[in-house]
Amino acid sequence: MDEQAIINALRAVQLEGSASACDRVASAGARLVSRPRRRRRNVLVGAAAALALALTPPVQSLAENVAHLVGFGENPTLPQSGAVSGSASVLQSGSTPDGEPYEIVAKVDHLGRQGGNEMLCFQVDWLELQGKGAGGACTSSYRDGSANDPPLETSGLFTRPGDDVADGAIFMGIADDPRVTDVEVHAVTRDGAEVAVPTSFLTVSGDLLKRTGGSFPVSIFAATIDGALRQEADQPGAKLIAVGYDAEGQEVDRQPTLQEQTLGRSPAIGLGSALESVHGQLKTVGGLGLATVHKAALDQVKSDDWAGASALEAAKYAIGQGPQGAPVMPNVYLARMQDDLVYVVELMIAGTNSEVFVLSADDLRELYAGTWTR
Amino acid sequence: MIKSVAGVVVEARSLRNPIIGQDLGATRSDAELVGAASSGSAEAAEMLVRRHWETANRAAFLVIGDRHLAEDIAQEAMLKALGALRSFDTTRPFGPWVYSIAVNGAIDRARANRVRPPLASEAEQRSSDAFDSSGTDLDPKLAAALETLDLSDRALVVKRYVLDFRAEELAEELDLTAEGVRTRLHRAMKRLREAMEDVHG
Repeated sequence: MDEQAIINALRAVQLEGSASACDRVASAGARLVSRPRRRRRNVLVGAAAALALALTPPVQSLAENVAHLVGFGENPTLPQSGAVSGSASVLQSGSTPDGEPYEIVAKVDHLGRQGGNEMLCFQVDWLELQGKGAGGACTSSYRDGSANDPPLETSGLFTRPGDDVADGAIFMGIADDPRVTDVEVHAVTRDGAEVAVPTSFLTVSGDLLKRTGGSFPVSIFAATIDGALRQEADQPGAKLIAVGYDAEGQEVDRQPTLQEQTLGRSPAIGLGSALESVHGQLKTVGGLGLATVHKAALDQVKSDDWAGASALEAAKYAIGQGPQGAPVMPNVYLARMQDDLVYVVELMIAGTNSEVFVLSADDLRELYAGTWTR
Repeated sequence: MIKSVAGVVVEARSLRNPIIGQDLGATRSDAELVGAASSGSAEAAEMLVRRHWETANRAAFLVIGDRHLAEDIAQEAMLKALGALRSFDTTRPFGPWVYSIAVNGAIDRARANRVRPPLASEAEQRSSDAFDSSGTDLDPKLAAALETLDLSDRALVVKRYVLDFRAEELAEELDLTAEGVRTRLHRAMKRLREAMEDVHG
């Protein structure tokens, strides 16, 4: 076979089942672009109104939409690529306030570049998009009973692929300290007032725990966050926090979102300092060790000469076999630097130092859309 | 610049006007469909998927060598692209963009599969270099020859000869010179031919 014949053969390959898959994806794509989107400026209605808007729908919509979703303990609707076979189960299903159906899934996954770290991971599956959004939270305490320190480990806001700060999210985290028997998410407004957001407290125990091969129950908390509340929480001075309580109702711990923790630990980011000042060893992220903060434009990220390139590449390996689908960043949030809106991207690689990247909004969109071509 | 892309199949089916049997998608450019889809047109999004699905799926398959995984990857690529239309530069062609996402997704998945532990499912344990042509009309000898290429060369061949990316574009992407890309392609095709001859005995 000569070269042209090879090329012709490659170009003509037909795949069985392609037409039906096309129908399915065309339908999903049509739903994706036509889903309702809110206007962006609703944050201006003020904190009180925003909170009122945000606090009413979650429980209601969960109840209304649960009928077409699978229930607690059932197998997830979407395939769980990479998970230990049989370990995945649904902890909660519902819809966000703007009607996006989701499932919170627990499964045993392999993290780390060599796949050697087996952990119980939690993720949000967005059903209509047939995919996973950014984020995942993992723990090994289901095997060894080692409680997290601090007792609450927040995981940031879980968002749908392509969403921005005006869209809803799920605030989720792990509470594997046995003293914590309930968690409530609070929205802290700019004037310091705290308002409770309806929060689920979900525990992997009994048969579900057996499926994972673990011995120690692990709990998570989850709260659906409306876009208006998310925008409000993004304002300086406002934030979302998780508050853990013991059986007597006494507060055990309170932690902000992981994004907020990062801002707190990296004041250079939050204070709008020169971009260069965030270089270097600045902070820890997620308790995984000292992180290196990089500011980068996309062309730098793509360059092999850039200091953060190898870490980002390594993270992609980790992400590919972890709870996230590549190329998804575990934690992404907005920050303002010298009047430029930028995204701060945290990549957490189990067993290694974390990496923090600062990218422009445009770069991140391109990266997120998968057009990054390293 | 609109890139000509071989192998694109525009299915002759009407989505909106079955009476006259006209495929409205075929009369609208990708740029028009992208504009409409980014404004929320479900029909435009559906047309974009139908127009580019087969090529994206084929490209993903030729890189990863498993039609089931390729389907997942192409699906993810399509939905990622449609989900990011609001920020898409409409002066750029949609097809090559979504094909790139699919090929890169296939590379990512193949690399991840290489380090999968034994507890992964059977399909996931398959070596990323093994080529499974079942359920396809790919000549098994050509499939075997493709296995002899490393992942990056396989992706390069697919991008150049199946998706019609120009050597200059690939050079920019790979941080090589165009001549360097042509050299790599030449070597990869030579290896494919030799592998085919070996198989033929």
